[in-house]
Amino acid sequence: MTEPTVARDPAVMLVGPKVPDEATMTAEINADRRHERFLLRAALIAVIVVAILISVRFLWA
Amino acid sequence: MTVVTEILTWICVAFVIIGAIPVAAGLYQYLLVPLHAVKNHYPEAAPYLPRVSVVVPAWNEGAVVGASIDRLVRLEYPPDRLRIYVVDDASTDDTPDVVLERAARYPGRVFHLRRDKGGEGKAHTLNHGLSILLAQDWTEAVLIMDADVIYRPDSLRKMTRHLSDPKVGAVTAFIREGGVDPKYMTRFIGYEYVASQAAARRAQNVLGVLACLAGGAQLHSRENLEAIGGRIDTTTLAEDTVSTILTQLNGRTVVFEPYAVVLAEEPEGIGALWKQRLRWGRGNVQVTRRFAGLWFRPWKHRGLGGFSFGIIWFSVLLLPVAMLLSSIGLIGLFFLGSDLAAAVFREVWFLALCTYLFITIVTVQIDPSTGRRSWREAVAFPGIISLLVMLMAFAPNLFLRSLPGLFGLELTTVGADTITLALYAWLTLCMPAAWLAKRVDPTRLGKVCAPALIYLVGYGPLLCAITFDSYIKEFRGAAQVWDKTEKLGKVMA
Repeated sequence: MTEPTVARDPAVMLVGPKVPDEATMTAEINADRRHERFLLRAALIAVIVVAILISVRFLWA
Repeated sequence: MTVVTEILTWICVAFVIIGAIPVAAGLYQYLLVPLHAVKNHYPEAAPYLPRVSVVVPAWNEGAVVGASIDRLVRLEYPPDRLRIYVVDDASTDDTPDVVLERAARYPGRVFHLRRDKGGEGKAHTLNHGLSILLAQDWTEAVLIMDADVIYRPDSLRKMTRHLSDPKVGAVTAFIREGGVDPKYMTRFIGYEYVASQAAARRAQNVLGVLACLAGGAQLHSRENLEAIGGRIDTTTLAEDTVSTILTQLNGRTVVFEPYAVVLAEEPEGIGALWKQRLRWGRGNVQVTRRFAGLWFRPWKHRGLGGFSFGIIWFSVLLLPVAMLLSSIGLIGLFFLGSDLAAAVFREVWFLALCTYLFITIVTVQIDPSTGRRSWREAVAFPGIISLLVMLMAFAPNLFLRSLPGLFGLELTTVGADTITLALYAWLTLCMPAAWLAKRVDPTRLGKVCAPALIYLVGYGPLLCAITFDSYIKEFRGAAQVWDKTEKLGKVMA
């Protein structure tokens, strides 16, 4: 990601990190979309803990 | 029971129920977070790299603006599609020298715009830059940021991908606390940002309506900026929120992109935090008044005027009022001799315990590195005293009978009544206690006592105390000063 890219206007030398190509960016969108599934796991863990708490209170009462 | 007593009893019960609405709203909002796994904007997103003009308002930002520019030019974004305009608000430090040096180092990419008369606030500074940018055809999108924030290399293109959908007017990023050596206060803020942005804004994505574009990371399409008047609101202290609401009222969507991460330096002391949040709090009061005809009117605007968004908005805005009502209700029930007091107290605080657990467990998993760094602050967010109150509501006999019994102690009636009243009043008392921490902070004792007080009383109650102060300042019509939060440039590279 450090290769220089050339400016469209050759009069101005523009240097910056290489921008991923379209296919890479599309794959990145899909990866981020898939990664969002971790939220379901996170919520499930939280629900289990709260459910245990409610059960303890109910059984205790 | 006389009729009057019965009426008073039900009024008190109503107060406690109203007081519990923000807790229920908080739980509702965080229950929406996992739905972001299936309801998000990614199916409509596509690689898209418009010509972006970055507007950086700067007033005496010499310590931080150079590093910000260096990071911006290294963004993974086509250099010929990115221009950086630093709008210098008549700085009196070395800001112009730093920016002009960068303009020479990056010709055609960095520009220095100077206002001769400054000090009017961020919105005026931004408008100076916007008027110049929008007069030219080059700009296709505008990124509004703060001078001290650091963009991760992929953050801008992760934001622009949502603008490929013409229905999207603006995109915001996840502002992450990025101090190199975080103090207790910045760790609290770090955790708060994960909870209020990375988590809550995902929930708002699910609802299809966003409360606020982060001031340090808001990307607007040119069409959107022109549709909202081509300028930023200068009449309130919450110009970001006004832009967000106007964008959505104009029929465009606002999207939160959680994978576009922007690091920011946050206040280390209570005083600086109070100043910053008072501005935000007063801004929210002003915005609520300005859009008074919008709330709870879904027929006017399905998202912003919807009940879900209205309850979330007012639960934050009126949280101190809700806490006060809850205390009044419980104490009223106690003095009315109603058996309902203990039952209602137990149920409401148990709901608070479940909500706290759910939010905390979800939040620390959303950003595990912040969770590891700020786990103490995550636990102590509502305050250690409030945690004890929650546990007492969960198991009252354990705390009021069994534990004292282990030491051969037995609570007298007076003792039990005193503890009960203190528990009922705590929701209100925690706010002046947080204010006390602010008063102690600048004193000699502050270094030890202020953090101890905040962990005991809670960061949440501190924010409520600031919101309460914002009501007072707005009611008294206090001077509307745009105070800059002092930054030292200590953000992680």
